[in-house]
Amino acid sequence: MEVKGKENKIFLSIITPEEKVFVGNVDFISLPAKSGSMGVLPGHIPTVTRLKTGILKIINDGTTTYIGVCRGYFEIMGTKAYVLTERAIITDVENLEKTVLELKKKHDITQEITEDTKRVSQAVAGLKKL
Amino acid sequence: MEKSQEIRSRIKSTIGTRKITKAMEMIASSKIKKAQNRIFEARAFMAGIVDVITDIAGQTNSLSDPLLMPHKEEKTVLILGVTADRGLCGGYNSNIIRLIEKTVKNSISAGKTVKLFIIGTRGRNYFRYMGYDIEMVYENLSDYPRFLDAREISREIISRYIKGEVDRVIICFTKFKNPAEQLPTMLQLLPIVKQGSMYLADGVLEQLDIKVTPEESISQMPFAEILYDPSPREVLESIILEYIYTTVYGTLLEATASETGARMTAMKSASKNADDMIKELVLIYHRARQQQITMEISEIISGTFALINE
Repeated sequence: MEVKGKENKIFLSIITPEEKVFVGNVDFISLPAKSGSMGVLPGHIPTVTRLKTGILKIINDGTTTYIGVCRGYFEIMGTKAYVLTERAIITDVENLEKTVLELKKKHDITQEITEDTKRVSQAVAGLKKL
Repeated sequence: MEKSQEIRSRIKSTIGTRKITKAMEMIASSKIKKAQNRIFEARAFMAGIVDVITDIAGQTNSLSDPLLMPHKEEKTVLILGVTADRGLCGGYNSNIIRLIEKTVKNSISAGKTVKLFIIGTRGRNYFRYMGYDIEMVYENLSDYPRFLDAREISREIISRYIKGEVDRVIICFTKFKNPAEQLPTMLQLLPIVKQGSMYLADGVLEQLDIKVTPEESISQMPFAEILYDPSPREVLESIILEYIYTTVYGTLLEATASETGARMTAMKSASKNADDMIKELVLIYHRARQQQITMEISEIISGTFALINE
């Protein structure tokens, strides 16, 4: 991380296994923590939190960004903060519910696929040599 | 005339082959950049997760997650072999298959039961042909592995480990060093071994080139100050799963990059060979053509002479 966090800002990185969705300084973060919504301002005590599927709100210089996250973790130490999540979608204020639904639906579908993949994999493995 | 025609058609077909190999080479070289970027992104995620686990491990001294605990007896070994779906990539498949087979044989001769999971059509074909008992086969993901694929595979493995069906999990995959060099590698996924102060297999980090340097680590404060929500144990339990998913995902990405690299190198040398062959054939063609002309001329001349003499 080359960019140093400014005095009164948090340097936030939102990372998924497939891409970095957001990297930059922010003034305020609102998180969908497992135990309820949580707001983070610069100078927050070091924390590690589990996130549930929901909307993460970032405010920087008066502009607000909404990002849908699919479970994961939030970690803040000093001026640096990380969000580690399996999937993150940048969205806007009108589509918040849609995004959450999409993330949740994706998760449900994944569950189904898991079962299907398992069956297919076993079947393919069981095929005898022709 | 017949001979030169034959050579001409050979030249034509070689040019056709060269076009294909050249195209494959170009596709591979454009894909490799992307594959490398994906490895890079996954490493950033992995480093973040390792960071959290190390912090928790530093705070709580007695960790008792089932995935960190080796089983009392080691009877069954699960081997996950990562091969490609397609060929035409030089020695890539045969190298990794050799390593998988060696690992399987070693485990069997050590008196253990082996459960074989195979990723990729090539590996499946080989091990089925050789009469091995394959438990699971995953296909169609060597081209572009997604995190979800890795998660599905990991879930299956983790559930078997927790149920006690397997006592050790080993992944055989090809590590990507650079486009021209790939290294078949073995990695123990479960149980996660404690090495030194790190609560994770250092081997894993090393194999996947993940370094958590002191400057990068965000935890430069005393551990006791960190607040865990809901509790360190609960965060650890879930993040360890994430760690395993990401490790598997990392190996899949490495394998894909290696496959692409191997294909690029193989196609490069194939194109070069085709070039050489075309050059040689063109020479032979010219020679044959000249021979033909010389022959025709001498025939005409001798014919004319015969007429004049008459």
